[in-house]
Amino acid sequence: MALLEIRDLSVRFGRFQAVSGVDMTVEAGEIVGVVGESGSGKSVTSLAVMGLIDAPGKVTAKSMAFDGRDLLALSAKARRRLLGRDIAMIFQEPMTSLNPSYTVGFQIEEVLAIHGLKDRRKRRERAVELLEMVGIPDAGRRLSSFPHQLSGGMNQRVMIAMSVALDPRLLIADEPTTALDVTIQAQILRLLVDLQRQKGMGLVFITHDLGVLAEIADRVIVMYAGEVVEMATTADLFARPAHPYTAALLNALPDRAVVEAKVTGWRGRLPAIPGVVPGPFDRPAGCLLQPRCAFADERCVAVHPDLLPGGNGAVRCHRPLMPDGQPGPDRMEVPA
Amino acid sequence: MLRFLASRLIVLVPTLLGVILLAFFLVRQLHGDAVEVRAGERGITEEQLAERRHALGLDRPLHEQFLSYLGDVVQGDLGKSYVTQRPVLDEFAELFPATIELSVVAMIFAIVIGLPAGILAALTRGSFLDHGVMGAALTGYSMPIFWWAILLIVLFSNTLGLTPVSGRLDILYYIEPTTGFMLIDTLLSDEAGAFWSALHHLILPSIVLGTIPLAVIARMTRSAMLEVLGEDYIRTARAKGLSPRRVIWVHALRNALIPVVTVIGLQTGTLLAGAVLTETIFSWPGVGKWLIDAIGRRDFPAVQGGILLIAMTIIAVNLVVDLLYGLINPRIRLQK
Repeated sequence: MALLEIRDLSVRFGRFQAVSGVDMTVEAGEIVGVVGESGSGKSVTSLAVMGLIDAPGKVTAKSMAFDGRDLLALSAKARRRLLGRDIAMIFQEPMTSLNPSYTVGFQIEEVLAIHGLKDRRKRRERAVELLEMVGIPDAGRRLSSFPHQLSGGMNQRVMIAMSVALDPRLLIADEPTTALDVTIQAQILRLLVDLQRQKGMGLVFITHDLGVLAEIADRVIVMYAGEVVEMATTADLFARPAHPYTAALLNALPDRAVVEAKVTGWRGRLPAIPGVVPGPFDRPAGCLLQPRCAFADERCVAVHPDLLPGGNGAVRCHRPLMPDGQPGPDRMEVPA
Repeated sequence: MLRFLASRLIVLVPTLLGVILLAFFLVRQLHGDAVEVRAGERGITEEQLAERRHALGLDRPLHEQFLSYLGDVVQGDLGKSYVTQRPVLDEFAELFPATIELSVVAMIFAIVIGLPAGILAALTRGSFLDHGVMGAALTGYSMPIFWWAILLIVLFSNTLGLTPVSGRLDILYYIEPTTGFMLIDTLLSDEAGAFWSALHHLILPSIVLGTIPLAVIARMTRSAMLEVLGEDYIRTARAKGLSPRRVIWVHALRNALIPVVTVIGLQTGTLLAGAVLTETIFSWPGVGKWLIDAIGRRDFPAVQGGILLIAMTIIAVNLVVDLLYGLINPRIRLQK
């Protein structure tokens, strides 16, 4: 049984379909990367798993099960009991994600207290232990610091300490390194991966940086305009992208472009994907990527493709790319 | 902390000098003086008037009068009332508790109703309740004090006969002033029912005086609360599995209170200004009514001294608010 199993998750805000038909599976001890541009629905998906989508947002799914329990069938109270204990989340902006009016000690101990650790001394000991674990020097004294007295990197360590305080089985990290300096990014990334290995947590790592996922993720889910467009193991995805969007994202990675330039002697601009992600109310009728896709044909304009097994996992494209990088035959015409 | 206090005390000097200057010259812009007002229609000769003016020093050049007044004030002497011949400070001290009592009860009324109303409006944003609360607040804020007072007197005192029209205590009781605060004095006395009578007399004036601060506090609380509820750390708190009640009362309110406390401090000025009108309407024997009477009698030392003392009170309250501000906002407190 998968740790987290989502089938056909949709989130609407009024008339705006922020996320539609997302499938996602996370096994225990696995790192799943979720990648996509801003507005692709990565964060909304994770907030829906947490149950933090407020009215007027509406969450529907065929199933959304954590460890076999249907999250959507749970009462609000039962669901809150999972949060912070079994499922934890860390966010993008460490400087604003901690409450400025309370010490970091208070905020770490709070999560221990509400999930049942009543003994004050034990809470304090555990908080010190956690801060030491995430590499904060002088942990005992740091407990009485306020977030504004710490750097962004330190605050993100505090956030991580808080999220792993009760050894959750699933950790969702929503762009945890985006707001940090590059050197700090590497440290935080290392810390997260180490903790994940130690504790055998399932980790959902949301980012817009494919390069980061290449280093840490077991599997990658590529999202575009609220939909999953491709799912594959990291190695396969990087070696043989099947969706034109994934391929374009990979081409836009500076590291890969540099390598290619060295090999082929190619000189020019870094390839970019033309156009922008369609907004809430100007989504095309057929494939959502079609206006920006180099390979789009009439069927892409007319018919919205489904996410079907293909490539190295699943791909939402009428003509998935072949290993040579060119579109294959239309999947309607070739029976599988 | 000490440096903060010292810097505030230094700013105090020019502020108070300005207040003295304004009060001194403005009150002399009124037609007539104390001698003329007292003489009335009683056919007193010009010589007698001149003699009395000379006795009060009113015949000296204005700048000379001012400098000698300033000299006295610096030495802590606010002069004697032209009318009662008693030191201004004594008269003020005698009446001030009545004003404080009214203001404090009015402010408690404003906070006790305004804060929850603002929170409720924020939590039900856009609802009927929200619009109702904000509409009522706007109406209360726009209502002229004297008009509001008359409406309440007509309804509750005249028509329904529920509340007394004026004064601090029923004439059945005589209470020897100990603290000057009627609520405390009546509790200390053996007179049964006196406390309830005092409380009864406070109801209408407090509502009238507290209405504007209430409206301001409610609106400020609502907007501060809405702003805070959208902050990242609120999402973090919810992701920890905290109950909505704890998120609101522990994580949101503490931060939302910061601007509200500032507004409460600023409202003490409005409150004391409003006390002048409210006391006059309800024959409340406080410094407001005393000040109005003094203006009518052209009792210059009383007016000048009263204004100066009220200004000092407002400054003192705002100083306390600033200190309080540091207490709830660690970002201020810990600035070195």
